[in-house]
Amino acid sequence: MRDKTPKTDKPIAVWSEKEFLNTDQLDALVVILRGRGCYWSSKSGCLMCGYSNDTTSGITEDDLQAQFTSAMEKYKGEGYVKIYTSGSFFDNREMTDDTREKILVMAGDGGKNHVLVESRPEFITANIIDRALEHVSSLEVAIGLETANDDIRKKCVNKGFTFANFERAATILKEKGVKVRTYILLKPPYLTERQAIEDAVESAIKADALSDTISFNPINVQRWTMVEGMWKKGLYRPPWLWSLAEVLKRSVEATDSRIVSSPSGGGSRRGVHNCKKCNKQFLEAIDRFYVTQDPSQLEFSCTCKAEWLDTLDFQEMMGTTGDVSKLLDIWE
Amino acid sequence: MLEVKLRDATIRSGTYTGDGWKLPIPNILFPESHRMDAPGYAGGILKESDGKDGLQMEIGGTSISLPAYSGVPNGYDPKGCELPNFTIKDKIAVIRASITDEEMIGLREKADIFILEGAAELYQNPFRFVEIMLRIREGIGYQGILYLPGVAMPHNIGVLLYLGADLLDATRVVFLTRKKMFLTSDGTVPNEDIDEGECACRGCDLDASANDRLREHNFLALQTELQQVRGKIAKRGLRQFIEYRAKTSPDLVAMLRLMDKRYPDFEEKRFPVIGPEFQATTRLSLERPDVKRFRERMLTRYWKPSDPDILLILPCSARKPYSKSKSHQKFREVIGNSRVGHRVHELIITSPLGLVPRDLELTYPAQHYDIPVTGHWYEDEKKMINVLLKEYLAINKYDHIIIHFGDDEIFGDQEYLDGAISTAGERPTDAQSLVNLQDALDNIPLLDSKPDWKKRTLEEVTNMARFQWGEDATDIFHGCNVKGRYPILKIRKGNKQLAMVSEASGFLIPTLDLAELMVEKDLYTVKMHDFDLIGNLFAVGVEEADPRIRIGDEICIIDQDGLLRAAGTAKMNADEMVQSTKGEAVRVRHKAKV
Repeated sequence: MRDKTPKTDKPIAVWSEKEFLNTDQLDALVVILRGRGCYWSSKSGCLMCGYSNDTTSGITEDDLQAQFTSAMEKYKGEGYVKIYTSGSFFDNREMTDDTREKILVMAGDGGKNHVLVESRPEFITANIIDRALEHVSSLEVAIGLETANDDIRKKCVNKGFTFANFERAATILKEKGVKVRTYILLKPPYLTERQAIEDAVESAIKADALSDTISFNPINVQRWTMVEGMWKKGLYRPPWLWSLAEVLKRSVEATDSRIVSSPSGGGSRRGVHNCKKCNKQFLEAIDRFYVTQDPSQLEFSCTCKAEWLDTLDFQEMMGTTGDVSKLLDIWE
Repeated sequence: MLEVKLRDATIRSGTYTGDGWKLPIPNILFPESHRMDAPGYAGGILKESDGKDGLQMEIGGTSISLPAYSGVPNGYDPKGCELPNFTIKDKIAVIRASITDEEMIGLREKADIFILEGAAELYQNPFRFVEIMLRIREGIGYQGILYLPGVAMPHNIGVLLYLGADLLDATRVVFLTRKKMFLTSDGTVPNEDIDEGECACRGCDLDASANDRLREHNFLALQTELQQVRGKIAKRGLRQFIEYRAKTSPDLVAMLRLMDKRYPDFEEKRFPVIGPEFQATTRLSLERPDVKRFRERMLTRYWKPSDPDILLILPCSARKPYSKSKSHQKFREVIGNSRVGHRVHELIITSPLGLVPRDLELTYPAQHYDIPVTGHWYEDEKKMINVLLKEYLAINKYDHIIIHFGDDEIFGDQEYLDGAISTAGERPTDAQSLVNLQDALDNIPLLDSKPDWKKRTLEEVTNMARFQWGEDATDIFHGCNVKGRYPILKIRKGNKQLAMVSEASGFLIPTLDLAELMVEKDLYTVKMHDFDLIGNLFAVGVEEADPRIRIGDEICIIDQDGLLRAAGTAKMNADEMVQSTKGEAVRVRHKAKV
């Protein structure tokens, strides 16, 4: 039988992927650390977030350092290192200054690498960023803004911070010459497909001035989340790939930021999906768009488009934000 | 404001008058977008608002904007975020299933149209759906229009309206069309299973894309069903129709059965006490609210005539009233020729009514139902009949019981029938069976008693009155006499006529003299506000009403001083006439001189 006890001295995952820095394409090392978890997740929690499944409360500082050391064994001089903790890199509850510095030193590799970390805005202070910049010459901080609309962020995400909090943090980053990667959630619960598209595009436009990259995260239904409970009952459907393409096209036209998306679970029932016929080619096109930023790459035709258009036009009239197909209750 | 014109079963029709627009109910709103026009026959159109957010209804050229939906499914309220159970805008409220009874009562004055958000989600679970629907229907009151978005299909319209909806839409049909489903009043089937030529509607004949052709067929099926239900409201055949339609889907049968079994009061309050003939051809007919009401009243409002000591159990007949049938005429001939004939009380055993004593054979629905007669009985029917008969015999005592029925197996080995004599073979009307009946009657020892037909007839008429108005009506008829030849009967007290029997319904139609006596007993009275009653009484003029009053009841109108002002027929039940501000509450038959 497989040992289900997580190894505390090994990261959850490490891989290499294509990425962009300014206009240059390069490889990036991605490290997912098994951390202690996001404080917000244990305090209240975002409706769609299942990352606490990947965290373990008893993780020690030594564990974290060992995890990162282990991850760097796969490092091949990528030039770009992304570090995710399923929480906030700058939260002292998740790691001490000492651990943070050690990780940054390893990741920065003597100023060779651009380093990306993720944090909620409340932990981003001038002080902590200054200290980080002592160890890393090129830093990027990703913030899960999710939406620029405070009402939607409160009601549909339960994120626990406001757009003003994001602005404050992003301004500090900008002033320090740190790049800002803004995550925008595509289709939080309680929104129709149409409302989700509008919210994502409006958010991109509002966040543009404070962002270098805007990355759209279409919801991936994660285990043990409220969204999963709704999804199982047909009360939530992850967004259509058509919607993601629409958001990317409109955002790239309307903003100066780099517009990207790396949907997790794309093409599956739990992730952003269309129909079996076109999921694959769509996802490939979104990957290509990541590189080219060319909206014409997202032009498609498939028979499922009419159903998506009907959803945009008539879902709200149906009085539900749920999965219309499932609610029809037909034997398929 | 809503004016209801017609009612049948739990369904009503009428017209809502808004600010410069009128919407007949029941009705269906058809969706429209820049990609799709609503059909020309649409009673109303749903579209996006001209502004950025929200939806609007378009009724006869007038645009009415609708309050926004919360987007939150029932049971999944956002954390740490106060979410109201309703939002209201210009007399239109969007309500969520979590709305409380108090909130709904508070909304009655503020909103006319209530939109149930997430109806399509709730519809997934018949238990929850029925529970929520009936609670909301009661909560928002009779004046409220209930709109269920996203649920209507041709085969479920009837049941949805029966559950209390007034307004539906065609959005679900649009999506089902996109899923290539072919819709009829029988249900939903994949379009690929439909061969060309199976449908002759003009939608299927349309020269258009496959999707547009199918959508037009489906829209027409939806609209046709709506119009059919509307027609049935006027003709009063809805319960039967709903039973047929419910059988197209297990969920619909479940909904109707749950309603019948768990919420009988909701239905009983709304069902008229008299009505036209109906077919009782499904097992659901056993639970018809007016049939259940008859069975209930048999045990609570009926006493056997005092003299007869011989109970004769008979089968029903296809012809109604039973006494007009050939079979019953044969039975009655045997009884009439017997020396104990005057001591016989006939009790007809039938489904779905259970027991019908001869003296109630005119009373609705005893002469208004039709059933398949095969000699085979469902266990439900057997059980229902035995439970009723046992309880009946516990209340009403006889010295002798003769079962002349034919299908004796339905009684099984019931102890409560020990000592009963069975006289019929397989065919109760054949010569041998009739001889057996005659012998059984002849074998009953003679008593030193004389028939008192006057007393018997008065007791029978009193039974009809008691059935109609309850036990308190009994005393009124002491000392009355009955004139006329059955079934044309008149009840007199001294030189005053109190009532005549309606041959069609078995109901007593009171004169003002009877109405006076009813007012003394506080029987079925409606108290009007202080004004001069001219013509019929409208709901706006009703102050109080006896909660027992149902549609079709014969009632009395009293004024502020408690004096009789008129007698007439209720057009609404008590709750509706008290709550409503529009529509005829009582059709006046006799007006009192003041």
